[in-house]
Amino acid sequence: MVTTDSLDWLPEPPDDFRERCKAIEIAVREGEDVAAALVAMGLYRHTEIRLNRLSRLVGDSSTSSLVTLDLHVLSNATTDYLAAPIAGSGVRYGLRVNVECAPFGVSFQAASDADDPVHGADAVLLALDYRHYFPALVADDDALETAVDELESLITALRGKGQTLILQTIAPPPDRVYGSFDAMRPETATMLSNKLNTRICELAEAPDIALLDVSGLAAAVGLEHWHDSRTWALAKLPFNPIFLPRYGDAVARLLGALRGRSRKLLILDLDNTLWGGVVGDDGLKGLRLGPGDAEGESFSLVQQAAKALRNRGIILAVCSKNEEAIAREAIRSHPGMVLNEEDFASIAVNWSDKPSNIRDICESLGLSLDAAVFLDDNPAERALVRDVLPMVAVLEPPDDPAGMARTLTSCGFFETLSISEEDLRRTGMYRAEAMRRKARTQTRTLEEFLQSLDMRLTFDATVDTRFASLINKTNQFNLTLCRYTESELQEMLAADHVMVGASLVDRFGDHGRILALIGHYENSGLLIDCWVMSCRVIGRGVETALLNHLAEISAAAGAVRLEGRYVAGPRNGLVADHYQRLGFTEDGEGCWQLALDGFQPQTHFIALNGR
Amino acid sequence: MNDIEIMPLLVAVIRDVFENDDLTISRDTSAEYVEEWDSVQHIRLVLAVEEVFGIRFSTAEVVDMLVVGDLADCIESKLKS
Repeated sequence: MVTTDSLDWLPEPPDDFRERCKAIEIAVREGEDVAAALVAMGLYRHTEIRLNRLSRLVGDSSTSSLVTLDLHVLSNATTDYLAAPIAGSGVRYGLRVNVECAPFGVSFQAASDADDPVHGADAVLLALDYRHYFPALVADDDALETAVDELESLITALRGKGQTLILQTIAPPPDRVYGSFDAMRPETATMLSNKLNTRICELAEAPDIALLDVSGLAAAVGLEHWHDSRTWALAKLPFNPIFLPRYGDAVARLLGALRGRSRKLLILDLDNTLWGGVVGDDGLKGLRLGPGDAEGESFSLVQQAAKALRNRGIILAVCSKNEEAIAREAIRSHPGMVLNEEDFASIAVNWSDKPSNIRDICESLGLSLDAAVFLDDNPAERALVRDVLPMVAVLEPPDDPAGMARTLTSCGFFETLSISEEDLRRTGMYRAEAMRRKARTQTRTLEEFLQSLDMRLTFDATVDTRFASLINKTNQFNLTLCRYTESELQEMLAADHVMVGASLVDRFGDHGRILALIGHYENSGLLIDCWVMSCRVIGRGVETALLNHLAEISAAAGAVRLEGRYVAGPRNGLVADHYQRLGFTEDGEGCWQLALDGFQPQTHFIALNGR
Repeated sequence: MNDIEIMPLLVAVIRDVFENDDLTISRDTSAEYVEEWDSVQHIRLVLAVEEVFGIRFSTAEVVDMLVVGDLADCIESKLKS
């Protein structure tokens, strides 16, 4: 039997897939930006053949506004088949991935050759296969240490060039020598693979190393399906090629996370999505939710999955066609509810069309539409949202609600490389933002509103995961669109760059660290290389407070002016006149300057801690 | 399915794999005729054929397919058994 593995959480592509590809091809030739069209095409379930076609389009679309990333793949198996699925899946996450694969057999030599182009890539994927380390099912005593040594020397040869290294866990073979006893014998390939994976995960703790859990993926689809002796014999393909779309997606979502392209918001329907039944018709007591009802159990699982996402920092919202009072009552008081009202940063329950509601939700939370994922059991609603808002990732749950939770947990739009304290507190911060907006309508002037917020700002010079993630995940309030890994940032800090972070607290809550700025002194000026700020605090005067702070520290360091640039990108139009607003003047070549001689600190309504 | 029914489907798969709708394909067409038809593309083609026809070839069968006719014959015999 041939099992075709598919990306279950995505819909089948439209019938006119090939025509649409041709239209994109023509648009590319005419120099149009096809980024949005490519991303929309990426959000379908694709076979290897279609991914090939998409990857060809991606390769041709060098002028599109997709985020470009160079990936080199080094492997101890063949890599010939991997490039197209990775590049084709990349558009799903807004990426234009240029994939270079070293030929079979010479991969690892590339690492030790200092002139090899692998050292110039943005990311290097080490696609490891167990057969290289444990070619027989039973190995020698030192096989594990030999494997770890080889891996460590590869890492040493590759790192330190400012690139991210992606280590792949290895899928253990499904074969058994003893039976269950294999799991207890240190010499079996199964046991050795598991031990090697533990070491790989430890190595991936380093800030410049990311983990691609292929072992987990292979286990999820089944090791006997994953490993295909025939294609290994024919082509040294390390896994069954029916999983190429799945593998390509796994790599692409990781790269997406690396470039801050993961989505941040999950918008959920209510009736037959968070509970079984229609609350307006069936009433609170008629809903199927929670233990005691087979279908009710399925909806509990959906809520548990959403709750787990919320607890790790994904923002939840509701978008439902219902009477608001009835729906809120069910959310508040149904005994089977796992989620509660406070888990949702925004609740849009009304009879307007869903695309309008989704647009409003994103706007009220200060998020762009391509940060949103939408889950709804109703195929007509899904089709409408896809049609009107093609940048929203619309999930495709199965007809049976029993499979709906898995749609959430396997979809990959929320991939992350690390987790910070801010992530864990995010919903609270967004709810506080909603309350602040309410306060704004109750106070008279903007000044009074800002004063009433009782804001306190604390500057710091700490470079950590949050600092790096602000730089890499901020797309709107981002002046130069520079991206740096945490290790690059540490190097810059050591090289005397000016690094400024800050955290903001107000009477509604703690925003955490909300900005990152990098600068360096040159020709008696402070050059601002990077200035990013969380969109949550826009319009609060933080930029003014930071300007005053910069003026103070740079004057103390002997500088006579501040200099900044604005680099236009697809989503940072918000800050196009940032420097102008702060009183800088442009020199005619895109460089904004502010003389410090005679600079008067500008007015804002934020108290500075430590003063 | 007989050869007359199989060939049009097979030709469509080949054109799809090579992303070339203008390829002229007959039973005698071999890898040499199609520029991109290397060993990597051969595996891709075999996998695509397997998916479309719902069959699976043995290792030896994959190696022995030299012309399109071999592929068509192999499909026919798989579908019969």
